Amino acid sequence: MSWADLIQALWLLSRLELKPRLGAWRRWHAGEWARACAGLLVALVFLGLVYGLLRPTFGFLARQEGLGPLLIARLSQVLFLIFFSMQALSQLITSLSALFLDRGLEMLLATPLAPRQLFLARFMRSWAASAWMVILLWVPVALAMQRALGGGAAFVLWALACLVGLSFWGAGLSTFVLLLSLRLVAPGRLRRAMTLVFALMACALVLVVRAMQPEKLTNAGNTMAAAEWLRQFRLPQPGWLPSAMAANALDGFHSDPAAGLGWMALLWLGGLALLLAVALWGGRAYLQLWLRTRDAGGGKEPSRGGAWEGLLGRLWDKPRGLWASLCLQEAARTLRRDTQRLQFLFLGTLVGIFIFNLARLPMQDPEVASLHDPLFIASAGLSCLVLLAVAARFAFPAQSLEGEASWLLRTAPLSSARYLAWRWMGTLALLACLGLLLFGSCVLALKPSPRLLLAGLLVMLAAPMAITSLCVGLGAAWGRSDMENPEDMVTGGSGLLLLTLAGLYLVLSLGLLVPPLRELGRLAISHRFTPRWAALLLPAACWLLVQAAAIVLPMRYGRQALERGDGL
Amino acid sequence: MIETRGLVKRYGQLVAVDGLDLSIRPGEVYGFLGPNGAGKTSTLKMLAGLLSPDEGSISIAGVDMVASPQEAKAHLAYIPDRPSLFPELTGLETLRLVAGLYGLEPALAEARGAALLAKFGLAAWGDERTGTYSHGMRQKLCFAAALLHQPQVLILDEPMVGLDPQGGRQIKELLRSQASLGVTVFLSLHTLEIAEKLCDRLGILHHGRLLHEGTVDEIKAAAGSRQDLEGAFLELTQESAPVGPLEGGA
Repeated sequence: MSWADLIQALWLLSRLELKPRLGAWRRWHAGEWARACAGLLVALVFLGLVYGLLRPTFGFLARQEGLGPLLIARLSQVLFLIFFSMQALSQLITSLSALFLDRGLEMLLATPLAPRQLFLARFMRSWAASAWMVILLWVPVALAMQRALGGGAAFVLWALACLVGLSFWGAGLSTFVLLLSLRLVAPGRLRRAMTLVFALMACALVLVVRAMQPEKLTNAGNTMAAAEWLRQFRLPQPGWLPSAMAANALDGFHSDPAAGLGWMALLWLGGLALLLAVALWGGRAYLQLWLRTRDAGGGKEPSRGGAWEGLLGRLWDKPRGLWASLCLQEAARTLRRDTQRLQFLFLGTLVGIFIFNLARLPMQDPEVASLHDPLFIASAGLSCLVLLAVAARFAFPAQSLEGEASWLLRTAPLSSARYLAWRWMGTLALLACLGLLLFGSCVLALKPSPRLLLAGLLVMLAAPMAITSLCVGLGAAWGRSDMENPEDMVTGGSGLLLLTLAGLYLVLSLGLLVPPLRELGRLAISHRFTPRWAALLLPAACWLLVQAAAIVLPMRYGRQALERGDGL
Repeated sequence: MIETRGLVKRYGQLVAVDGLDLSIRPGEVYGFLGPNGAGKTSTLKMLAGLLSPDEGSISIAGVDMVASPQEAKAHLAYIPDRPSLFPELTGLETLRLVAGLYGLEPALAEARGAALLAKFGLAAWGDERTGTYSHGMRQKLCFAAALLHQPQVLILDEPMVGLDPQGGRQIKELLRSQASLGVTVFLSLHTLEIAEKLCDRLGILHHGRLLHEGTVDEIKAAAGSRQDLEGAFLELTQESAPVGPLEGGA
């Protein structure tokens, strides 16, 4: 590996990645620019929401007498660990695709280009692909911290430098793990081996959440609960972990600049040394590993569906009607795809953690009695987020997952409206079952007041329908049949747009219920039925309007896109 | 059987299909020729209901594709240029899915499916996932899926690509036999030799417009060429400049 290799890799990136994209932007027509601007606006709203949430949180923690900086340092440790995990996982997926599964690699490797140069170019590309969104998401976090702690623009830049340094570690470690896995495990079994990695990650998640003991938040019974919990909280991460280094470097900016500089140097130099080591090793081993992967079919051969296989075989032993055929093909495609099954495992773990933590709440404690309603609101909100996560992961990329075989469905005598309605109903049935489970757990564990129970019931009836519409409709509108990794659609730009829109919907949906609930509370206290109709009916009408818009508009948008033939 | 009037398809500034008028009779094999980017695939996708036209009308077996797409699609079968299938489904499951989509009676569909798999030499592969199939096998399964509901119109995009000589011959015979049964076959082709032998009529598309239409002899006559179809085609599309050695080459 030499400077010439680096220059060649950069040239390759500019010719293959940057130039075509710039060329495509130049050819954009007005509609495409308008869509991009709308997307940018929504992304800014999302980042603004993150800032709006973190700014008061950091401000509250900073105001705690004598503890402010300590509490923020603890929270920054958690945030760095979360961002590091997100980036490392994303790097694992993007580098597998960019270095081994991409269809264009065969042509590139047939050119006189040295494999190590191609490896370097793709390694840099996968770093950029995995890091850009994490770094962008860190900007509002850094700004919120700066507002709470001071330090001006220099602190924001310092915080960003911490995350960029951390991203080197994420990229280096994930690519190292990938290369090592490909060396040790037959490539055909790699995806199955990743099942084990996901299972381990799910276990680690359970352990971390149990180590955090979030139920302690309810113990103090006063506004200090969060600060007290954070003060006592010890994240199970040793100091040599990259996320701990980044947290120490950030903490040092205010408390001990020399130590902070030392941690920053360690973070950056260590990260760059790791990248160099991976580049050297990967460059040498790349061609051989790529050939092994290609000969094994890229590890993309469909896997056996395990226990489901027998059931599927029995259900589909002869031709069935239209709806049954659609359901069976969707079930077969989902259950026989390793990546989908892994996601089931992961989301199942999340749901399990949610219900387990609800069960652990010390609700019999008299101090907690007053917290039943606030905890119910928080849990119902979290339930909606779990539903959103499930729908975003499975229903949103469903159209793209059909891939180039979508012609089979779209040339059949089945209208786009009926097809989308089928997907909507199928997703809704699953989400409604999950919503019932989550909501039922919340009600049983927290025993909310009748007013809140009614409000929660309204939200849990409407939210699955709206979330399903958003995911199915927008997934159909933004899906593409030639997408390389449709499973990752939710972590891309369109996924960010979806999550922002869904977040806005949830905020509006919950926010509009507050005035009528308050009014009902006032009536209950006064024991006289003299409602202020404007406070009761106007928000209720707006709430209904929001539900109707969230259910109808995305589906209409998706149907129109399918009818035009978008994404083919 | 297939009628188009003033068909237009635009992608931003680019006009891919520009006022196309076609009229193809039942039992006719119609070959659609044209250089790369002429608008053939866009036309085929519009005929198959995969893309909506910006202007103009399409009629399949007397049914308006724009006004009643479901009814029109029930009469046709489409095979894309790349035989992409769901890799997680087996060959039999793919045919069962198609039977469900077209509302075929289960017993009839199962019998037809088995017969078609046997006809295309895929009987032993019925229970294997299509992800393990070769290109040619997937192409044959696409044909089996297309013929399952016995369509009146077959729309095929480059059907011979990736087939071995035996497979190619089988498909040519199949298309001729379908035409003899009254099925309208509309196919895009790049291999002029096949077009010459297989098609009753040819249409030459260039920059989205139909340059010429007719039998092979009529096309040759229109080009004023006494050469073969290839010469006529190149002359008509004005791309017959001989290719010399590359600059700096041997």
